[in-house]
Amino acid sequence: MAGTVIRTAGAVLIMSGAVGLGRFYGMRLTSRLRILEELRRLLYLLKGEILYANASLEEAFFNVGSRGTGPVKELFSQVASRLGERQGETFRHMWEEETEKFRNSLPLTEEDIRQMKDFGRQLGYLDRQMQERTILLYLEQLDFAIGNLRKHRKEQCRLYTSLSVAGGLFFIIIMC
Amino acid sequence: MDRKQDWLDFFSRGIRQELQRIPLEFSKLQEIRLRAGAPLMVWYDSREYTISCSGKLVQPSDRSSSICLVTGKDIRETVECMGNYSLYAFEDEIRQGFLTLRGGHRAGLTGKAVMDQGELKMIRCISGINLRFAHQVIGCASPYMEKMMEQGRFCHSLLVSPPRCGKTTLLRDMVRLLSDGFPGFAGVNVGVVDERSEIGACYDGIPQNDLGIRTDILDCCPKALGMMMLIRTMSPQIIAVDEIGGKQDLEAIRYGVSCGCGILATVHGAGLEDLRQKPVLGEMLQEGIFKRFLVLGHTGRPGQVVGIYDERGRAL
Repeated sequence: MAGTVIRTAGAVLIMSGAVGLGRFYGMRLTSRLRILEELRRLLYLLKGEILYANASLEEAFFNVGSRGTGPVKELFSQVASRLGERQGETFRHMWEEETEKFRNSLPLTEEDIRQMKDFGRQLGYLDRQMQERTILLYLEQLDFAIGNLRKHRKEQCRLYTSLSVAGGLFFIIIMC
Repeated sequence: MDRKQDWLDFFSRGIRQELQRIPLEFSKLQEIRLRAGAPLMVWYDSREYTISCSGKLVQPSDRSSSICLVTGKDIRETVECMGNYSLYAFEDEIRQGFLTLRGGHRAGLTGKAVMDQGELKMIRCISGINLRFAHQVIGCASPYMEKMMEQGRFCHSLLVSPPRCGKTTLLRDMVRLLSDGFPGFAGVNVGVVDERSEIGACYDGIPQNDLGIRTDILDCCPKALGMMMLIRTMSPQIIAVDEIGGKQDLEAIRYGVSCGCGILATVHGAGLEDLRQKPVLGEMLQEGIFKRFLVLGHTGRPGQVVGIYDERGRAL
């Protein structure tokens, strides 16, 4: 009798864990989508600061960062503050270091981080036209990633939930 | 900008480390020159030095010590630091071959010119930087102010000077004195068109040099356009501009004079005879617009006038 109760309790715990895991991965997808959307919004502002206000990168990142929210705001503000420190490093180096911090703490894919780094490698290089093209290229990449994510988010969330429930059931069957 | 860290921020890490080791006094620092593959040169206290690997200022002729050489990477990184990682924001300045930095210091640039339909589009592969430090010398113009007046009124004046003799320093102090006033002259409204941010050294629109209490500054604006704007909007009694020479400048000066504004300007030249040979400036001299000419020369100290002349070329 006690054995059955323990087994049932174990099965319930495994199932809850499996469902939780599925939900967790689903939420990561949603969170990635929100971050990319916020990044896109701030990039439009950055484009305005650079092209129309002719602001330097420090000023542009600071102004845009103060209008942002969440982790992207943190990234922009942090970059502005490092630019202001004038340590003699290259912009590319600073940007790469800051995006690396992003990689560890946020649900972004390797591809997202690679595109983000590529963007920083080109920014500040040559004339205003080049800045515009660099930003537009990154915006295009972001649009594509966001579009894909929106299109497949529901089915991916369902897939995560079903797979984890199936995995949980499989584990329960083996245990029993 | 007298803290060493402030001006060291203009340089790449490598150059900073070299300069940090030397006890340099900012007030004596005139120029730092970087050329790819050549020694780091410093004009300090009116003398030229290179920097030894042991961190000392040495005479360029001194071959006994090994000299610190500037690399292409140093130059690239320094340009990036000077342009605050945003060279695109300085396109117009780079096209003219310089960058104006915080504090009104000016970095001259050389490299490969990129032309587009006969016009200079940009300078790439920058291989030489000459950072000239701007110093405000309060009171350097005081001895000359009296001669620029006639019956208590300011005469249109032109400061004539070869490069590196301190004409902008002198102009800056004259603006301050005309604005604040000095014995025998009550201050007046002075409008300054600071095309290269050298006179006022504006940072975020606020001048960092003392230009007087009645001075309005139009920063980073082309001279001719700025003079017209100031006359129409700020009603200045005197307009000050640095380094005139173009036809449009002459038109704007004529307009200013016809509106009753006093003109205080500077120009590159060795003397009055030299000016007469130049097309636009010669025309300006013939018209007799300027009533006073202050000629500067290499005397060892910046802002030293070697001769003051009236419109007929008579020494005063």
